[in-house]
Amino acid sequence: MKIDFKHQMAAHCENGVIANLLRFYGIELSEAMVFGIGSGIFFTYLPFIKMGDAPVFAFRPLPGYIFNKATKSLGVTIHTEKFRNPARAMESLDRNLEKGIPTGMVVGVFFLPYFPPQYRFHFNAHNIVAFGKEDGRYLISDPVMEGPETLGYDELLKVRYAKGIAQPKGKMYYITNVPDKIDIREAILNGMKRSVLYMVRLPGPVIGVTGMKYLGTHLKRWPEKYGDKKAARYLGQIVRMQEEIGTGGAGFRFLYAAFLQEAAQLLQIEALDSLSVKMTATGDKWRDFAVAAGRLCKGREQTESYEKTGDILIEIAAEEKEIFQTLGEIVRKAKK
Amino acid sequence: MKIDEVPQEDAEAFEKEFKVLQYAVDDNGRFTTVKSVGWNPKTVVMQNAWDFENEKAEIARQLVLRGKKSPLYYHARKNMMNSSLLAGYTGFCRISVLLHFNPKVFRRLSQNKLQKYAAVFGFESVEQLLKIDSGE
Repeated sequence: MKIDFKHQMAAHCENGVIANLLRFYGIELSEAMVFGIGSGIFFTYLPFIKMGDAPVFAFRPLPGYIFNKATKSLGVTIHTEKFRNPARAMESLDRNLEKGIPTGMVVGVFFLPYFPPQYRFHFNAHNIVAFGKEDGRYLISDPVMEGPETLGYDELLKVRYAKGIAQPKGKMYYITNVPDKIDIREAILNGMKRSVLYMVRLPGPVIGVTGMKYLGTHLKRWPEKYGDKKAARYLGQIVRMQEEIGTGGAGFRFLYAAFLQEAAQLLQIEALDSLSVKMTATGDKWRDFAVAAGRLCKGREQTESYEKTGDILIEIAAEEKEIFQTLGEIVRKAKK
Repeated sequence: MKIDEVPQEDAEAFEKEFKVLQYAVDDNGRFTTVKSVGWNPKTVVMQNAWDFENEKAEIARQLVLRGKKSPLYYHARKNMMNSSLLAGYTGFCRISVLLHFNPKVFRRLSQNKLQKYAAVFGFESVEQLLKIDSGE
Protein backbone atom coordinates (compact mmCIF):
# COMPACT_ATOMS: atom_id res chain seq x y z
CA MET A 1 0.00 0.00 0.00
CA LYS A 2 1.01 3.56 -0.47
CA ILE A 3 -0.06 6.53 1.63
CA ASP A 4 -0.63 9.76 -0.24
CA PHE A 5 2.32 11.52 1.36
CA LYS A 6 4.07 14.45 -0.23
CA HIS A 7 7.85 14.30 -0.03
CA GLN A 8 9.56 17.64 0.12
CA MET A 9 13.28 18.15 0.28
CA ALA A 10 14.61 20.07 3.27
CA ALA A 11 17.97 21.25 4.52
CA HIS A 12 17.76 19.44 7.82
CA CYS A 13 16.30 16.00 8.48
CA GLU A 14 14.53 16.77 11.73
CA ASN A 15 12.78 19.96 10.56
CA GLY A 16 12.03 18.34 7.25
CA VAL A 17 10.33 15.32 8.80
CA ILE A 18 8.20 17.49 11.09
CA ALA A 19 7.20 19.81 8.25
CA ASN A 20 6.34 16.87 5.98
CA LEU A 21 4.33 15.07 8.68
CA LEU A 22 2.45 18.23 9.65
CA ARG A 23 1.62 18.92 6.01
CA PHE A 24 0.05 15.46 5.76
CA TYR A 25 -2.31 16.47 8.57
CA GLY A 26 -3.14 19.79 6.96
CA ILE A 27 -0.79 22.12 8.82
CA GLU A 28 1.20 23.99 6.21
CA LEU A 29 4.43 25.24 7.79
CA SER A 30 7.76 25.86 6.13
CA GLU A 31 10.96 24.19 7.29
CA ALA A 32 12.28 27.50 8.60
CA MET A 33 9.10 28.03 10.62
CA VAL A 34 9.38 24.60 12.24
CA PHE A 35 13.05 25.28 12.97
CA GLY A 36 12.25 28.61 14.65
CA ILE A 37 9.28 27.33 16.66
CA GLY A 38 11.38 24.37 17.79
CA SER A 39 14.20 26.76 18.85
CA GLY A 40 16.72 25.01 16.65
CA ILE A 41 19.40 27.68 16.71
CA PHE A 42 22.13 26.89 19.16
CA PHE A 43 25.83 26.82 19.75
CA THR A 44 28.05 24.93 22.11
CA TYR A 45 31.71 24.10 22.40
CA LEU A 46 32.69 21.36 24.82
CA PRO A 47 36.49 21.07 24.80
CA PHE A 48 36.53 18.48 27.58
CA ILE A 49 34.31 15.96 25.79
CA LYS A 50 35.87 14.21 22.82
CA MET A 51 33.64 12.58 20.26
CA GLY A 52 35.20 10.85 17.28
CA ASP A 53 38.64 12.12 18.32
CA ALA A 54 37.62 15.79 18.33
CA PRO A 55 35.99 18.11 20.86
CA VAL A 56 32.24 18.54 20.59
CA PHE A 57 31.01 21.49 18.54
CA ALA A 58 27.29 21.78 17.98
CA PHE A 59 25.18 24.22 16.04
CA ARG A 60 21.95 22.57 17.14
CA PRO A 61 20.46 21.24 20.37
CA LEU A 62 20.36 17.51 21.08
CA PRO A 63 18.61 15.42 18.42
CA GLY A 64 14.89 15.26 19.12
CA TYR A 65 14.81 18.64 20.86
CA ILE A 66 13.49 20.61 17.89
CA PHE A 67 10.94 17.88 17.33
CA ASN A 68 9.65 17.92 20.89
CA LYS A 69 9.51 21.67 21.26
CA ALA A 70 7.91 22.30 17.88
CA THR A 71 5.15 19.72 18.29
CA LYS A 72 4.45 20.72 21.88
CA SER A 73 4.22 24.43 21.02
CA LEU A 74 1.79 23.68 18.23
CA GLY A 75 -0.31 21.43 20.46
CA VAL A 76 0.18 18.41 18.21
CA THR A 77 0.12 15.07 20.00
CA ILE A 78 2.84 12.61 19.08
CA HIS A 79 3.12 8.98 19.98
CA THR A 80 6.71 7.76 20.39
CA GLU A 81 7.76 4.16 20.85
CA LYS A 82 10.96 2.17 21.24
CA PHE A 83 11.21 -1.59 20.96
CA ARG A 84 13.51 -4.10 22.53
CA ASN A 85 12.58 -6.69 19.95
CA PRO A 86 13.49 -5.73 16.33
CA ALA A 87 10.86 -8.02 14.79
CA ARG A 88 8.14 -6.34 16.84
CA ALA A 89 9.41 -2.92 15.83
CA MET A 90 8.93 -3.87 12.17
CA GLU A 91 5.51 -5.42 12.81
CA SER A 92 4.40 -2.28 14.55
CA LEU A 93 5.56 -0.21 11.58
CA ASP A 94 3.66 -2.49 9.18
CA ARG A 95 0.48 -2.14 11.22
CA ASN A 96 0.84 1.64 11.18
CA LEU A 97 1.31 1.73 7.44
CA GLU A 98 -1.74 -0.47 6.94
CA LYS A 99 -3.78 2.01 8.97
CA GLY A 100 -2.51 4.76 6.68
CA ILE A 101 -0.34 6.57 9.22
CA PRO A 102 2.95 7.93 7.87
CA THR A 103 5.50 6.99 10.50
CA GLY A 104 8.73 8.73 11.40
CA MET A 105 11.79 6.78 12.49
CA VAL A 106 15.20 7.53 13.91
CA VAL A 107 17.96 5.67 12.09
CA GLY A 108 21.73 5.46 11.82
CA VAL A 109 23.23 6.61 8.52
CA PHE A 110 26.26 4.33 8.29
CA PHE A 111 24.38 1.41 6.76
CA LEU A 112 21.78 3.48 4.90
CA PRO A 113 22.20 2.19 1.31
CA TYR A 114 20.96 5.21 -0.65
CA PHE A 115 22.99 7.70 1.39
CA PRO A 116 26.03 9.12 -0.43
CA PRO A 117 29.19 7.31 0.77
CA GLN A 118 31.03 10.53 1.60
CA TYR A 119 28.49 11.33 4.33
CA ARG A 120 28.35 7.87 5.88
CA PHE A 121 29.74 8.12 9.36
CA HIS A 122 28.41 6.39 12.47
CA PHE A 123 25.76 9.01 13.11
CA ASN A 124 22.63 7.70 14.77
CA ALA A 125 20.12 10.54 14.82
CA HIS A 126 18.88 10.74 11.27
CA ASN A 127 15.13 11.03 10.71
CA ILE A 128 13.11 9.44 7.94
CA VAL A 129 9.43 8.76 7.27
CA ALA A 130 7.99 5.50 5.96
CA PHE A 131 4.84 6.07 3.92
CA GLY A 132 4.09 2.72 2.35
CA LYS A 133 5.19 -0.77 1.43
CA GLU A 134 5.30 -2.07 -2.12
CA ASP A 135 6.62 -5.50 -3.19
CA GLY A 136 8.14 -5.98 0.23
CA ARG A 137 10.09 -2.74 0.07
CA TYR A 138 9.36 0.22 2.30
CA LEU A 139 8.76 3.59 0.66
CA ILE A 140 10.90 6.11 2.46
CA SER A 141 10.77 9.89 2.47
CA ASP A 142 14.15 11.15 3.57
CA PRO A 143 14.05 14.97 3.69
CA VAL A 144 17.68 15.41 2.67
CA MET A 145 17.18 13.40 -0.54
CA GLU A 146 15.69 14.94 -3.66
CA GLY A 147 13.05 12.24 -4.13
CA PRO A 148 11.51 9.31 -2.25
CA GLU A 149 13.67 6.21 -1.75
CA THR A 150 12.99 2.57 -0.92
CA LEU A 151 14.47 0.20 1.66
CA GLY A 152 14.20 -3.57 2.03
CA TYR A 153 13.10 -5.20 5.29
CA ASP A 154 16.62 -6.18 6.37
CA GLU A 155 18.12 -2.86 5.37
CA LEU A 156 15.56 -0.90 7.36
CA LEU A 157 15.95 -3.20 10.35
CA LYS A 158 19.71 -2.74 10.35
CA VAL A 159 19.57 1.07 10.32
CA ARG A 160 16.78 1.16 12.92
CA TYR A 161 19.00 -0.89 15.20
CA ALA A 162 22.24 0.95 14.53
CA LYS A 163 24.73 0.63 17.38
CA GLY A 164 27.12 3.03 19.01
CA ILE A 165 26.44 6.41 20.60
CA ALA A 166 22.76 7.32 21.03
CA GLN A 167 21.30 4.09 19.66
CA PRO A 168 17.88 4.62 18.07
CA LYS A 169 16.60 1.23 19.37
CA GLY A 170 13.92 1.10 16.71
CA LYS A 171 12.44 4.43 17.77
CA MET A 172 9.38 5.44 15.77
CA TYR A 173 6.85 8.23 16.13
CA TYR A 174 3.63 9.39 14.56
CA ILE A 175 1.06 12.13 14.98
CA THR A 176 -2.06 11.00 16.82
CA ASN A 177 -3.96 14.24 17.22
CA VAL A 178 -3.92 17.65 15.61
CA PRO A 179 -5.69 20.62 17.25
CA ASP A 180 -8.44 22.40 15.30
CA LYS A 181 -6.88 25.78 15.77
CA ILE A 182 -3.22 26.62 16.22
CA ASP A 183 -2.00 29.70 18.04
CA ILE A 184 0.89 30.33 15.71
CA ARG A 185 1.73 33.71 17.24
CA GLU A 186 2.22 32.23 20.70
CA ALA A 187 4.25 29.32 19.29
CA ILE A 188 6.59 31.64 17.39
CA LEU A 189 7.14 33.97 20.34
CA ASN A 190 7.81 31.08 22.71
CA GLY A 191 10.26 29.57 20.25
CA MET A 192 12.10 32.86 20.01
CA LYS A 193 12.11 33.27 23.78
CA ARG A 194 13.75 29.88 24.25
CA SER A 195 16.38 30.66 21.61
CA VAL A 196 17.19 33.96 23.33
CA LEU A 197 17.63 32.01 26.55
CA TYR A 198 20.08 29.58 24.99
CA MET A 199 22.03 32.08 22.95
CA VAL A 200 22.53 34.93 25.40
CA ARG A 201 20.93 34.32 28.78
CA LEU A 202 22.39 31.05 30.02
CA PRO A 203 25.39 31.44 32.34
CA GLY A 204 28.62 29.55 31.79
CA PRO A 205 31.27 29.78 29.10
CA VAL A 206 30.25 26.98 26.75
CA ILE A 207 26.72 27.64 25.49
CA GLY A 208 25.50 30.32 23.09
CA VAL A 209 27.46 33.43 22.17
CA THR A 210 29.85 33.03 25.11
CA GLY A 211 30.67 29.60 23.72
CA MET A 212 31.56 31.16 20.36
CA LYS A 213 33.78 33.71 22.02
CA TYR A 214 35.40 31.00 24.12
CA LEU A 215 36.05 28.92 21.02
CA GLY A 216 37.46 31.98 19.24
CA THR A 217 40.02 32.62 21.95
CA HIS A 218 40.75 28.97 22.55
CA LEU A 219 41.29 28.29 18.87
CA LYS A 220 44.22 30.70 18.65
CA ARG A 221 46.21 28.47 21.02
CA TRP A 222 45.44 25.23 19.21
CA PRO A 223 48.55 25.01 17.01
CA GLU A 224 50.92 25.20 19.97
CA LYS A 225 48.68 23.09 22.17
CA TYR A 226 47.83 20.26 19.79
CA GLY A 227 50.27 20.64 16.90
CA ASP A 228 49.39 21.71 13.37
CA LYS A 229 47.84 18.49 12.21
CA LYS A 230 45.46 18.05 15.09
CA ALA A 231 44.57 21.74 15.13
CA ALA A 232 43.67 21.57 11.45
CA ARG A 233 41.51 18.51 12.05
CA TYR A 234 39.64 20.18 14.92
CA LEU A 235 39.08 23.24 12.78
CA GLY A 236 37.81 21.00 10.02
CA GLN A 237 35.40 19.42 12.48
CA ILE A 238 33.82 22.83 13.22
CA VAL A 239 33.33 23.51 9.54
CA ARG A 240 31.87 20.05 9.03
CA MET A 241 29.32 20.66 11.76
CA GLN A 242 28.63 24.05 10.23
CA GLU A 243 28.33 23.14 6.57
CA GLU A 244 27.89 19.43 6.15
CA ILE A 245 24.52 18.06 5.24
CA GLY A 246 21.52 19.67 6.79
CA THR A 247 22.31 23.14 8.06
CA GLY A 248 21.06 25.12 5.09
CA GLY A 249 24.38 26.97 5.13
CA ALA A 250 26.40 28.78 7.83
CA GLY A 251 25.41 26.53 10.72
CA PHE A 252 21.65 27.18 10.53
CA ARG A 253 22.11 30.96 10.51
CA PHE A 254 20.45 31.39 7.11
CA LEU A 255 17.65 29.06 8.12
CA TYR A 256 17.02 31.17 11.22
CA ALA A 257 17.16 34.38 9.20
CA ALA A 258 14.52 32.88 6.91
CA PHE A 259 12.40 32.14 9.97
CA LEU A 260 12.76 35.72 11.26
CA GLN A 261 11.69 37.03 7.88
CA GLU A 262 8.61 34.82 7.78
CA ALA A 263 7.77 35.69 11.38
CA ALA A 264 8.02 39.41 10.60
CA GLN A 265 5.26 39.01 8.04
CA LEU A 266 3.06 36.76 10.15
CA LEU A 267 3.29 38.82 13.33
CA GLN A 268 3.46 42.19 11.56
CA ILE A 269 6.59 43.21 13.44
CA GLU A 270 8.91 45.16 11.18
CA ALA A 271 11.88 45.05 13.54
CA LEU A 272 12.18 41.33 12.88
CA ASP A 273 12.84 42.04 9.23
CA SER A 274 15.93 44.08 10.00
CA LEU A 275 17.07 41.40 12.45
CA SER A 276 16.78 38.88 9.64
CA VAL A 277 19.08 41.03 7.52
CA LYS A 278 21.60 41.20 10.37
CA MET A 279 21.40 37.46 10.90
CA THR A 280 22.12 36.92 7.19
CA ALA A 281 25.18 39.13 7.58
CA THR A 282 26.54 37.03 10.46
CA GLY A 283 25.79 33.96 8.38
CA ASP A 284 28.04 35.39 5.68
CA LYS A 285 30.73 35.86 8.32
CA TRP A 286 30.41 32.20 9.32
CA ARG A 287 31.04 31.42 5.66
CA ASP A 288 34.17 33.60 5.77
CA PHE A 289 35.25 31.64 8.80
CA ALA A 290 34.75 28.39 6.87
CA VAL A 291 36.86 29.70 4.00
CA ALA A 292 39.68 30.66 6.38
CA ALA A 293 39.43 27.32 8.18
CA GLY A 294 39.43 25.46 4.86
CA ARG A 295 42.66 27.20 3.88
CA LEU A 296 44.30 26.33 7.19
CA CYS A 297 43.14 22.73 6.77
CA LYS A 298 44.85 22.58 3.41
CA GLY A 299 47.99 23.81 5.11
CA ARG A 300 48.32 26.77 2.79
CA GLU A 301 48.89 29.36 5.45
CA GLN A 302 51.22 29.74 8.41
CA THR A 303 50.02 29.20 11.96
CA GLU A 304 49.65 32.91 12.70
CA SER A 305 46.41 33.10 10.77
CA TYR A 306 44.80 31.00 13.49
CA GLU A 307 44.76 34.40 15.20
CA LYS A 308 42.70 35.92 12.43
CA THR A 309 40.37 32.93 12.22
CA GLY A 310 39.72 33.14 15.94
CA ASP A 311 39.02 36.84 15.64
CA ILE A 312 36.28 36.19 13.09
CA LEU A 313 34.50 34.04 15.65
CA ILE A 314 34.85 36.64 18.39
CA GLU A 315 33.38 39.21 16.03
CA ILE A 316 30.47 36.93 15.17
CA ALA A 317 29.85 36.31 18.87
CA ALA A 318 29.53 40.05 19.53
CA GLU A 319 27.13 40.51 16.61
CA GLU A 320 24.93 37.58 17.51
CA LYS A 321 24.81 38.75 21.09
CA GLU A 322 23.34 42.02 19.91
CA ILE A 323 20.88 40.25 17.61
CA PHE A 324 19.51 37.96 20.28
CA GLN A 325 19.33 40.70 22.88
CA THR A 326 17.24 42.77 20.48
CA LEU A 327 15.14 39.71 19.74
CA GLY A 328 14.57 39.28 23.48
CA GLU A 329 13.25 42.84 23.72
CA ILE A 330 10.99 42.39 20.71
CA VAL A 331 9.50 39.23 22.21
CA ARG A 332 8.95 40.95 25.55
CA LYS A 333 7.13 43.83 23.90
CA ALA A 334 5.05 41.57 21.69
CA LYS A 335 3.97 39.40 24.60
CA LYS A 336 2.47 42.32 26.54
CA MET B 1 24.20 34.88 0.89
CA LYS B 2 22.54 35.79 -2.41
CA ILE B 3 21.19 33.21 -4.80
CA ASP B 4 24.03 33.67 -7.27
CA GLU B 5 26.53 33.33 -4.42
CA VAL B 6 25.42 29.81 -3.57
CA PRO B 7 28.53 27.78 -4.36
CA GLN B 8 28.42 25.11 -7.05
CA GLU B 9 31.95 23.74 -6.74
CA ASP B 10 33.76 20.41 -6.67
CA ALA B 11 30.87 18.39 -8.05
CA GLU B 12 33.21 15.48 -8.79
CA ALA B 13 35.13 15.54 -5.51
CA PHE B 14 33.45 12.36 -4.27
CA GLU B 15 32.30 9.26 -6.09
CA LYS B 16 28.63 10.15 -5.81
CA GLU B 17 27.37 13.62 -6.56
CA PHE B 18 25.01 14.90 -3.92
CA LYS B 19 23.04 18.12 -3.68
CA VAL B 20 22.13 19.81 -0.42
CA LEU B 21 19.54 22.50 0.12
CA GLN B 22 20.86 25.96 0.96
CA TYR B 23 18.98 29.06 2.03
CA ALA B 24 19.76 32.27 0.17
CA VAL B 25 18.12 35.64 -0.48
CA ASP B 26 16.77 36.66 -3.88
CA ASP B 27 16.90 40.13 -5.46
CA ASN B 28 14.00 41.35 -3.33
CA GLY B 29 15.67 40.23 -0.13
CA ARG B 30 13.30 37.29 0.36
CA PHE B 31 14.68 33.93 1.44
CA THR B 32 14.38 30.97 -0.85
CA THR B 33 16.07 27.59 -1.26
CA VAL B 34 18.73 26.68 -3.79
CA LYS B 35 20.32 23.29 -4.35
CA SER B 36 24.08 23.35 -4.01
CA VAL B 37 26.31 20.69 -5.47
CA GLY B 38 29.30 21.46 -3.27
CA TRP B 39 31.62 24.07 -1.83
CA ASN B 40 35.39 24.03 -1.83
CA PRO B 41 36.06 24.65 1.91
CA LYS B 42 33.51 21.95 2.71
CA THR B 43 35.20 19.51 0.33
CA VAL B 44 38.54 20.24 1.97
CA VAL B 45 37.36 19.56 5.50
CA MET B 46 35.42 16.45 4.48
CA GLN B 47 38.44 15.14 2.61
CA ASN B 48 40.49 15.91 5.69
CA ALA B 49 38.16 13.86 7.88
CA TRP B 50 38.27 10.94 5.44
CA ASP B 51 42.06 11.11 5.21
CA PHE B 52 42.18 10.77 8.97
CA GLU B 53 39.99 7.65 8.84
CA ASN B 54 41.91 6.18 5.91
CA GLU B 55 45.15 6.74 7.75
CA LYS B 56 43.85 4.70 10.67
CA ALA B 57 42.81 1.94 8.28
CA GLU B 58 46.25 1.98 6.67
CA ILE B 59 47.99 1.64 10.03
CA ALA B 60 45.71 -1.29 10.78
CA ARG B 61 46.57 -2.84 7.41
CA GLN B 62 50.28 -2.65 8.17
CA LEU B 63 49.72 -4.29 11.56
CA VAL B 64 47.84 -7.14 9.91
CA LEU B 65 50.57 -7.59 7.30
CA ARG B 66 53.15 -7.82 10.07
CA GLY B 67 51.05 -10.46 11.80
CA LYS B 68 50.32 -8.33 14.85
CA LYS B 69 46.58 -8.13 14.33
CA SER B 70 43.90 -10.26 12.68
CA PRO B 71 42.22 -9.23 9.41
CA LEU B 72 39.12 -8.52 11.48
CA TYR B 73 40.96 -5.59 13.03
CA TYR B 74 41.56 -4.08 9.61
CA HIS B 75 37.94 -4.48 8.51
CA ALA B 76 36.74 -2.92 11.76
CA ARG B 77 38.98 0.12 11.29
CA LYS B 78 38.02 0.38 7.64
CA ASN B 79 34.37 0.60 8.72
CA MET B 80 35.31 3.12 11.42
CA MET B 81 34.32 0.72 14.16
CA ASN B 82 35.95 0.12 17.50
CA SER B 83 35.58 -2.97 19.64
CA SER B 84 32.45 -1.82 21.44
CA LEU B 85 30.63 -0.84 18.25
CA LEU B 86 31.53 -4.17 16.68
CA ALA B 87 30.40 -5.92 19.86
CA GLY B 88 27.08 -4.09 19.56
CA TYR B 89 26.51 -5.25 16.01
CA THR B 90 27.55 -8.88 16.54
CA GLY B 91 26.20 -9.44 20.03
CA PHE B 92 29.56 -10.73 21.26
CA CYS B 93 30.98 -9.15 24.37
CA ARG B 94 33.63 -6.50 23.91
CA ILE B 95 36.39 -8.54 25.53
CA SER B 96 35.92 -11.35 23.04
CA VAL B 97 35.95 -8.91 20.12
CA LEU B 98 39.26 -7.59 21.44
CA LEU B 99 40.52 -11.16 21.65
CA HIS B 100 39.42 -11.79 18.07
CA PHE B 101 41.67 -8.93 16.99
CA ASN B 102 44.52 -11.25 17.97
CA PRO B 103 45.55 -13.35 14.91
CA LYS B 104 46.11 -16.52 16.92
CA VAL B 105 42.63 -16.42 18.43
CA PHE B 106 41.08 -15.31 15.15
CA ARG B 107 42.51 -18.34 13.31
CA ARG B 108 40.63 -20.71 15.59
CA LEU B 109 37.25 -18.97 15.30
CA SER B 110 34.27 -21.11 14.32
CA GLN B 111 32.61 -20.67 10.95
CA ASN B 112 29.51 -19.48 12.76
CA LYS B 113 31.25 -16.55 14.40
CA LEU B 114 33.09 -15.62 11.24
CA GLN B 115 29.75 -15.58 9.46
CA LYS B 116 28.43 -13.09 12.00
CA TYR B 117 31.34 -10.74 11.44
CA ALA B 118 31.04 -11.08 7.67
CA ALA B 119 27.36 -10.14 7.90
CA VAL B 120 28.13 -6.92 9.81
CA PHE B 121 30.50 -5.73 7.10
CA GLY B 122 28.07 -6.78 4.38
CA PHE B 123 30.37 -9.47 2.96
CA GLU B 124 28.76 -12.27 1.00
CA SER B 125 31.28 -14.90 2.05
CA VAL B 126 33.61 -15.51 4.95
CA GLU B 127 36.50 -15.54 2.47
CA GLN B 128 36.30 -11.76 2.13
CA LEU B 129 36.70 -11.39 5.88
CA LEU B 130 39.93 -13.39 5.87
CA LYS B 131 41.50 -11.24 3.17
CA ILE B 132 42.61 -7.63 3.45
CA ASP B 133 42.84 -5.14 0.63
CA SER B 134 46.25 -4.78 -0.94
CA GLY B 135 47.31 -1.16 -0.63
CA GLU B 136 47.32 1.19 -3.59
